[in-house]
Amino acid sequence: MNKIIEFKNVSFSYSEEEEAVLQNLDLDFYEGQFTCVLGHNGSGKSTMAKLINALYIPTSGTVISYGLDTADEKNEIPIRRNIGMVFQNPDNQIVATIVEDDVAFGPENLGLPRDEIRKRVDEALKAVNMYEYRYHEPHRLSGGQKQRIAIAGVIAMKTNCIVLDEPTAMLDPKGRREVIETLLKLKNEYGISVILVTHFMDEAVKADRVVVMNDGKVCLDGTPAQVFSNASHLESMGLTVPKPLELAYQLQKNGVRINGEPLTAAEFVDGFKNYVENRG
Amino acid sequence: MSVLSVKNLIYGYSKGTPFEKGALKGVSVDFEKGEIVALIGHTGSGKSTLLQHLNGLLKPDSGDVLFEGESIHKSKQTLRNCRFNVGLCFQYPEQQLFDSTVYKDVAFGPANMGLPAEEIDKRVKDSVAYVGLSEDYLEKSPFDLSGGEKRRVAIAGVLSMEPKVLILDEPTAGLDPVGKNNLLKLIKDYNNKTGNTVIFVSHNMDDVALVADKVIVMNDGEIAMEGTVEEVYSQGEKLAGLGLDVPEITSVFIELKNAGFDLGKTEYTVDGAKESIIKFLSEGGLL
Ligand SMILES: Nc1ncnc2c1ncn2[C@@H]1O[C@H](COP(=O)(O)OP(=O)(O)OP(=O)(O)O)[C@@H](O)[C@H]1O
Ligand SMILES: Nc1ncnc2c1ncn2[C@@H]1O[C@H](COP(=O)(O)OP(=O)(O)OP(=O)(O)O)[C@@H](O)[C@H]1O
Ligand SMILES: [Mg+2]
Ligand SMILES: [Mg+2]
Repeated sequence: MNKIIEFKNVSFSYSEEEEAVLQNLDLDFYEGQFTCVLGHNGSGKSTMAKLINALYIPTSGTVISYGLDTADEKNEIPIRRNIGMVFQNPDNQIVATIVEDDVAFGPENLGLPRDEIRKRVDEALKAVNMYEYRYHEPHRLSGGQKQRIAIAGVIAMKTNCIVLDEPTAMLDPKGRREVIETLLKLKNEYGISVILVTHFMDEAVKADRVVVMNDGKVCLDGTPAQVFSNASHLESMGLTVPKPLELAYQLQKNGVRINGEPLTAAEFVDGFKNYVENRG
Repeated sequence: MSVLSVKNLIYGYSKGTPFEKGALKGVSVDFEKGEIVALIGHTGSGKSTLLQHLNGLLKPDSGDVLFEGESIHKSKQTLRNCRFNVGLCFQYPEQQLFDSTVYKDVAFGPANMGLPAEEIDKRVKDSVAYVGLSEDYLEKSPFDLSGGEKRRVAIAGVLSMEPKVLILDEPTAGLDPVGKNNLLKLIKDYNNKTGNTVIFVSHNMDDVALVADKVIVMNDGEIAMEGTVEEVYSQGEKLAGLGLDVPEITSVFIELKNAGFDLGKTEYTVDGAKESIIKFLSEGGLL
C-alpha cells in the first residue's frame, strides 16, 4: 500500500521550557485506509493531527505528507489540498457568517467551478442533515449543529485524505452513526483515506487499523481485533474495550467462554450461539 | 418542595429576524432534591438552552424558574443566590475557562462566594484532584491544554462551588474512556456524599443507564418523554424516532432475543446483562 504520510523520528514541544509532548514518533499512514487513533486525554492525538497538515512543524524529525516536507513553507498549500481537517472544537473552524458559505470555503480554495461547488455544498449539508440550516449563522447554532457544519466543510472538499479530531463528540446517536457511515462511504466509493481521532470504541471497531497513543508515543498499532485483545493493558492507558467484548470478558470470569473476542453485537450473538450449541 | 422548578418556559433565539427560532416551546419540569437527572435529546433539541435557564443565564420570554420555591428573577438577590447554588458547566469548556492559570480559574467561584482563603485553597486542590488532574496542572494556562484536560478543569471550576444543584452540559464528551467512567463515579459520589441534585446532558445512552435516577428526553423544544431509565429505554422504537438509540449492550441483548434466547427483561448495562445471561444459562443447565 502507498504511504501517504510519514512521521520520521518526530518530537514536538509547545515551548522550550516544556517537555516534548511527542517523543521520537515513527508512524505512517496508508492510502485508502480507515485509521482510528485512540489514546488518553493529553496523549498527543490532536498535536499529531496538526503536524500532518503543517499546522505545526516538528521540533525535530520530519513529517512527509504526500511526498512533501511539512517544514517547508511552500509545501503548506499543496499539502492542504490533499489533506482536509476537522478540528476538535468547531468554533475554531468557522470562517463565514452564513452556513453555506462556510461549507463552500474549502471547495472555493481548491478553485473548483461554481456549479461543482454548489453541488458539493448541497450534498455535504444533506449528508450531515443541516441543509435546512444553510442560510443560518454558524455561530448561532447548537454545539452538535456546529460540529455537523465543520464535518460538511471537509466532506465537500473531497480531499485525498481527511483527518477528523473527535468529530462526533457532541452528536446524538443517530448523527454519530450517520457521520461514520458517510466516512466509510467516502473511503469505499472515492478511495479517500480517513484518519479519525476518537474516544468511541464502537467507532474504532469499524476501522481497518487502530493506532493507540500513550504519553506522546504509539504503543499499539494493528487491526481492531489485535488492539482490543488486551483489555488490562488498554485500561492502564485510559482506554476500554467495546461493550460486547466487555460483556464477554465478564462472562468469562464466571466460567462462560464466548469464543472469538466479539467486537460487535452480531459477533457476540454468533459466539453465544456457538457456546450454547457446544453445551447443549 | 422541588429544589428547582421550571414552569412553562418559552424561549426563542434571534427574535424579530427571519431566523427566529423557538428553542423552548413550553417546558415544565421539577427537579427533586437528591436526584440524578439525565437530559437527552437530538442535536438542537433545546437541552443547552434549558440548562442556561436553570441558573438564570438566559431569561425566558415567558414562564418562570423557581429555586427552592422562589422565582430566581424576582430580584437581584434571588438571582445571585441562584448563581451560587446552581452551578452550570458549559458544553464547550472554551465557553467557560477565562483565567490565566488553572488554579485561578477554579478558585474564581469559591472566591466570589466570599469563602475564606484556606477553604478556597482546599476546594481548588480537592476538585482538581477529583477530576483526575495532578497538581502539576495548577499553574498551567487552561488554554494550553488538550481538549479533555480543558473539560476536566471546567468541571473542577463548578465542583469547587459545591452547588446544591450541579449541572453539567455533556460532561463526558471528549473524555477518554477511563476518565469518562471516573466522571460517572464522581457524579454518583457527589450526589451520595452531599445529597445534592445533579443534572447532566449526555448523548451516551450507556452512561445514562449507569447513573441516572430519572431521564428526560427533549425533542424540538419540548419534553417528549420522562421517567426512570427502565420506563424510557423500554420504548426503543420511540427513542429511535427521536434520533436516539438504546445502549449498545441493549442491542446485544435484543439481538440475542431475536436469535431465540428467552432472556427475560431487557438489560441496559454490562452488569445487568451478565447477571441475566448467567441466570438463563444456569436454569437451562448450560453453565
Ligand atoms: N497549546 C498548547 N500549549 C502547551 N501545551 C499544550 C497545548 N496544547 C496541548 N498541550 C499539551 O500537550 C499534550 C498533548 O496534547 P494534545 O492536545 O495533543 O492531546 P490529545 O491526545 O489530543 O488529548 P485529548 O484527548 O484531551 O484531546 C498535553 O499534555 C497538553 O497539556
Ligand atoms: N445563539 C443562538 N442563536 C440562535 N439560535 C440558537 C442559538 N443557540 C442555539 N440556537 C438554536 O436553538 C435550538 C436549540 O439549541 P440548543 O443549543 O439548546 O440545543 P441542544 O439540545 O443543546 O443541542 P446539542 O446537542 O447540539 O448541543 C437549535 O435549533 C439551535 O439552532
Ligand atoms: Mg485532542
Ligand atoms: Mg447543547
